[in-house]
Amino acid sequence: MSQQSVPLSEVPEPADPPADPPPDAEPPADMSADDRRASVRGLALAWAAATVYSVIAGRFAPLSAPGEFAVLIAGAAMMAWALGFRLPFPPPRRRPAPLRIDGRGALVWLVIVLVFTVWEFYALAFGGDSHPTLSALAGPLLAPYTHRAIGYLLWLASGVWIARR
Amino acid sequence: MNASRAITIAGFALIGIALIGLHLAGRRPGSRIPSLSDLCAFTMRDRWGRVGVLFLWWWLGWHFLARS
Repeated sequence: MSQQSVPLSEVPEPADPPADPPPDAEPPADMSADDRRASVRGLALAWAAATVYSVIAGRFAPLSAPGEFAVLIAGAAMMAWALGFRLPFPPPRRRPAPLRIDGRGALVWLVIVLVFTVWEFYALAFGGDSHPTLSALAGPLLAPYTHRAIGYLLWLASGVWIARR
Repeated sequence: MNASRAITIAGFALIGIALIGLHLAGRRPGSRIPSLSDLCAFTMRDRWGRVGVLFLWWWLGWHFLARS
C-alpha cells in the first residue's frame, strides 16, 4: 500500500484537551430546581455553622485546652469530609486536577518556599525581638477576640478551598 | 522599632507579595507558572498528597490559632 501525501492544510489538528471547568462554587447546570435549592440551603447552613463556630472558638485563649480542641475537632471534621469519609452530607465537588504542570514553573514556587523557610529558621535560631518569627508577629495580631474569630473563619474557608481541589 | 526588626517584617512582606504575584502570574492564560490552585490540585491527585496538604492546613490552624 503506497502512502499518499496529505497537504499540510488538510491534516486534522489534534483535539485540544478539554478546558478546565470553572471553579465549582456554582451548582452544576443539570441540577433540578429542587436540588439547586437544597444545595444553596446546605451551603448557607454550612457557612452559618462555620460562623457560629468561629465566634465561639475565637473566645478561647491560645495555649488552652478549649483552643486546642476547637482546632482539633474542626480539623478532623474537615479532613473526614475532604477525604470522602461517609458523612451525613455529600463529599466536596472537586475541581479537575491538571494532568501535568510545568516543572520550571513549579520550581519558582519552590524557590520562594525555600527563601521563606530559611528566613523563618534564621529567626527561630538567632531571633529574639530583633528578628521575630512569623508566629511571633502573628501572636499580637491575633490577640483581639474579633481578629481571632476572623482567623478561624478564614482558616475554615481555606480548608474548604483545599478540599475542593 | 529597631532596623533589624523592620528588615525582618519587610522580608516576610516581600515573600507574601511574591507568593501573591506568582499566583496571579499563574492565572494568566498560557502561563508556564502553575497557579496555587493548579499546584494544590496536582499535589492532591494522589491520596497521600491529599492527606499531606490537609495535614499542613490543619497544622497551620493549630499553630497560629491554638498556639500563638
